[in-house]
Amino acid sequence: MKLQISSPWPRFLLVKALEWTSAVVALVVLTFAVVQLVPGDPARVIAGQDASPAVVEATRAQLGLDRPMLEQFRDYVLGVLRGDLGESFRTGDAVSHVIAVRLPYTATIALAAMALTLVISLTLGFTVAGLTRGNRNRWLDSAFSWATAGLQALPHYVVGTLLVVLFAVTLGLLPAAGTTGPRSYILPSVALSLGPICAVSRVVRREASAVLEQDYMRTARGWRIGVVKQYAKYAMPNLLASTLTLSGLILAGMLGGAIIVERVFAWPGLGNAVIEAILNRDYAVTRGVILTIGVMAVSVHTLIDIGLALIDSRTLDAEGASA
Amino acid sequence: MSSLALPVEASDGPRRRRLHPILVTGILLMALLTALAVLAPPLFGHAATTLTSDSRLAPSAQHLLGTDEFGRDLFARALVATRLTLVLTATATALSVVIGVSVGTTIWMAPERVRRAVLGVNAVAVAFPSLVLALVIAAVLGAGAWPATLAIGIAGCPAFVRLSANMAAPIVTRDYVSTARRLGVPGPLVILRHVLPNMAEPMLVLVASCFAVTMMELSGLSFVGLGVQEPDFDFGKLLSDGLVSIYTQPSQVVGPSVMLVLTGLAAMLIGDGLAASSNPRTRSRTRSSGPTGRLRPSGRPAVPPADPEATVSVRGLRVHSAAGVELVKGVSFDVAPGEVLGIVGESGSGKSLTAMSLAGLVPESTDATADALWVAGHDLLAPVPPAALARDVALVYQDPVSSFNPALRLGTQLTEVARTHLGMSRGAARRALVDRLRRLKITEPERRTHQHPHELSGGMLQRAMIASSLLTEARLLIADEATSALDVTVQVEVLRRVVAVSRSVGASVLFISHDLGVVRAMCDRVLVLYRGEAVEELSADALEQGRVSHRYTRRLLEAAEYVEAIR
Amino acid sequence: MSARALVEVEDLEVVLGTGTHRTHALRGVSLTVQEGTSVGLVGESGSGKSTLAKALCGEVPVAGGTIWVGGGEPVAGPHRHTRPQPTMLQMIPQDPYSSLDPRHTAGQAIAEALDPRRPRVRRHRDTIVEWLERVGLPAGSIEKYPHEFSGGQRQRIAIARALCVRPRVIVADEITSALDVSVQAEILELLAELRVDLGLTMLFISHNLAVVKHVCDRVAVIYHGSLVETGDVEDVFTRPREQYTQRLLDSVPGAPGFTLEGD
Repeated sequence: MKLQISSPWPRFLLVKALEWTSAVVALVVLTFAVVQLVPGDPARVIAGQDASPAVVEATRAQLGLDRPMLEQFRDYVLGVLRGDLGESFRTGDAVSHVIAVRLPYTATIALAAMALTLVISLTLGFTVAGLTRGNRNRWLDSAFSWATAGLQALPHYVVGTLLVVLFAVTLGLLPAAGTTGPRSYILPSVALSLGPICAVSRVVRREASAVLEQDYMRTARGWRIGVVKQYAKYAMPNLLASTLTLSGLILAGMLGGAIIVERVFAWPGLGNAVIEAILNRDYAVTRGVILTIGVMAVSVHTLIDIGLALIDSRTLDAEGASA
Repeated sequence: MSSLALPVEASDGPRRRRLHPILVTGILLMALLTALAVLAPPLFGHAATTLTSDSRLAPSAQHLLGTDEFGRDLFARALVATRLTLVLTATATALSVVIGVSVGTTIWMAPERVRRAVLGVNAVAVAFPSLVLALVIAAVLGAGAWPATLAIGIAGCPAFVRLSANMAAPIVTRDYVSTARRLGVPGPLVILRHVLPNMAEPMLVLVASCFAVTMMELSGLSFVGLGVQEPDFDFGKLLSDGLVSIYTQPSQVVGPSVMLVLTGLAAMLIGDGLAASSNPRTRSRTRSSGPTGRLRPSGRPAVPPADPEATVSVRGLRVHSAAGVELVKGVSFDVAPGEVLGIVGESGSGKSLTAMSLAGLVPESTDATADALWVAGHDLLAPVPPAALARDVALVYQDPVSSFNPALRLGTQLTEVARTHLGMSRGAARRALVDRLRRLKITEPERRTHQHPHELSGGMLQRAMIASSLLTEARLLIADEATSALDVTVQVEVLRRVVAVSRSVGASVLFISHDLGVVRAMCDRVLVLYRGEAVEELSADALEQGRVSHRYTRRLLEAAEYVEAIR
Repeated sequence: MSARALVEVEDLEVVLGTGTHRTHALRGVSLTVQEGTSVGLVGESGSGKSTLAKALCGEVPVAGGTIWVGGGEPVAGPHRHTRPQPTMLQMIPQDPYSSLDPRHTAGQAIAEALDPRRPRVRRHRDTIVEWLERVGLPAGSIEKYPHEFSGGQRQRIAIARALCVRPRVIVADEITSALDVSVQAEILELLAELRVDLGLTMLFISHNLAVVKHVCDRVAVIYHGSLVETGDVEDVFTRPREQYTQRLLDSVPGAPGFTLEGD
């Protein structure tokens, strides 16, 4: 039992695959339940309060709500597996088509914002932690705390609105809305990443301070290696590990932020699609988009876990024990 | 047996303390907003909701922020919206916190299987961004203020379950909780009496930041049209109204933006302030002075080393804490080549501080001075080439697990000095290390170099650390409580390696320990430290025969006799 | 003295963890503690000594064997475990820094032991003071919080809290290992005194062979989950029958068999 010669990776990846699958299954059930849980009669709600009974019945038949629930669920699951998510009740477009058209826009700003967040906050947080180590540069410490707290209090959509006022309306430098070229991606990505940059760089700063006080950093200092090497080789891997652990939720949460930010920039992504669909009671689109965003979030989560295991092999062994 | 920890009581008990300025600012701001929430609707409600013909006026003395398309005063609207925003946010926050904390703490009183199941399900829920969960609930319940509140509140639960479960975990495993259960205190009472009070402070920090996030998300739902509906309005709804006319009347977004930021900021500041005032490190910052961790000449005339051949020659070593407390009070001693000098003392005697200063590693938040400090032929009070010091002085620390970097392989760490300072190639250094590991009787030396520290036992790690000193042929080996964390049968092995290394390369050893028995067995000479002073210096023989003169040494000897001696 | 067994452990098997982390913590351990006597349980880290303590408190599932505390129904048998009555068995935990709630005074800690459901210091003040004084603390300690005490003083409070219940059996789990040597000696002397005064029945767990001789009549040596040797303290120390016991004795610096020479 003690000598585990075989690599822990296959088991780890299997566990991760199972976690991913169970999360996606949960999502499928959840999105299916959206229609079932609507208070009162879903068909009536969808058709509208003023619709005649005939229209309500027609709606019910069209949505398949007149069939037993298990049958509806089976069809839904089979559809999901085939990539057929039904049609928009309002426009008649295939939901998969709607998603295919809109997903790239959301994915682009979300990924750009995640990359921005990781790069900027790691650099910023680590630098501040290094400069304020052992009570040095206390002014920087306070300035950093205040600035990040203040900027973090700005919701995405307020940042977006203010950016539009400044760069589009007042200065006329960048487009305010829509996708008119590469430059139009700048403001949404910045708006989406500003808050997370503050949040994550605070995490990085706190974790970096903790890492720099660890015994193994003292060991490295005892070896008299250069400060840059100490930080880059000995502190960074541990910092990356704890930062990813703590900011995984923030990164995955940026997909949620994207939904709201899209509204500011009239962005043709999934966020605007799902909000419109919810307001229109267009359940097929609602389900499809939530399912897509959910799968993206779960995948980001899983990828972060795998990245974490690559950086810190301890998480491989601890897998299953942690909550 | 803490070594480097300064004598700062690590207590988290109740005490009076000054409020942190950040906390005060946050509380004042929140109080102001609460006052607005109460007073604004009766005072400005009329101006905020009455339709007039003064539509789209620019800001003026009469209308500070102008008017909207229906001629309603924008300043008044921003103020009046405070009430609805705060009420909805508080409700949603309370929902997340109450459900989250109850579930997150009670699972610890449940059987392990139940706890794992709940946490497993919760882990799936946490993986979804809360806004996505909120959208699901909004899709079910439809748009509206209360459905949105319910959606955000419920969507916030999984994160809070996880956070409070994590926060309760270290408290639940503390002995006072298990003792209370053994004394027959019922589970729910244990939570109320011991668990919740001890997680109150970090929990408040979380509640504050949860409040800020909840407000942003709730206003976000209103902003996109899923939350508060006409004719009601909160900050999000106002901002969304302003966005429509952003080109014609950009000033319309100012009011709700400022109010959103102020409310978020108030909550964040309260959270930050609470965190800062419960953290002893930031709390004590106010009176600390300048950089620390330095080693300087004392300014007194340096006494030349008694024996120029000595590996170590220290005169008048003093270590101060940042607060000015003298922790080491003028210690002087020499270590001859090949000699094993023991430094013995109990916690707080300054033995580790002395050892670290000798290695030129004065801990943060302390400062060291000395009249003279020669180590392995280098004057530490003057600039010393780092390579020389790294090569000549090797250190073995108390806790083998924490003194190795968890993220790097053993081979990388143990050959660092040889590669950086002796110019060895990666391959040559690794081969040399494998040889030294084999000499120290470490099994499977090749495989060890590719392993991570957590894969080895404590005794093996300590021996590996000693092996790296063989690699550089260090002249001084400082072992700071290097065997204190080990079992006796393992300790013997490590002690034997230290002796063997000292003999094979002729290195001097500075052996720091609280354990008089070990020091007596290991050392040629022993220095007894008590409250930062060297009270007695003894030969091994004198110690063996109990020929000690200082009262403290005698007491220590008696206690050791009582506690450590087999017969 | 009647020779009634207050603790009887028979063929105890404990398996901890699941999957690849499964370990056989105790393998067929049998142990008896007679009324009024004190047994030392000595072993190194990972030997299973703390697991045995937890099993006695009904806090780990038992895979096989039986535990009786104070006669009557067994508190643990295969696949079942219950907590023994508080008045039957109490444990003094190892770490004095984690055994006291930082937000409760010494008085409140002891009051909770005296009345777990409604711990009122006022009502039990006399009893609390009596116990504090018995463990060598001034009566004024009743109002003080844990951070105002040293490690040794905290351990005294923990002892008072466990003893004031008047349990038939005391389990002391490494109660001196976190303390400085001089403080260890004081705590051991206190415990040796209380043992005589109160006629305690005790299982004293330690990694340190030497401390056992002050407070125990018998000693059991545990290694990799099995008891390797049991006997009177004097016999085991002077004439160990097992090789592991000999090695353990020889590893103590200053012991006759101790040497730093050799491989």
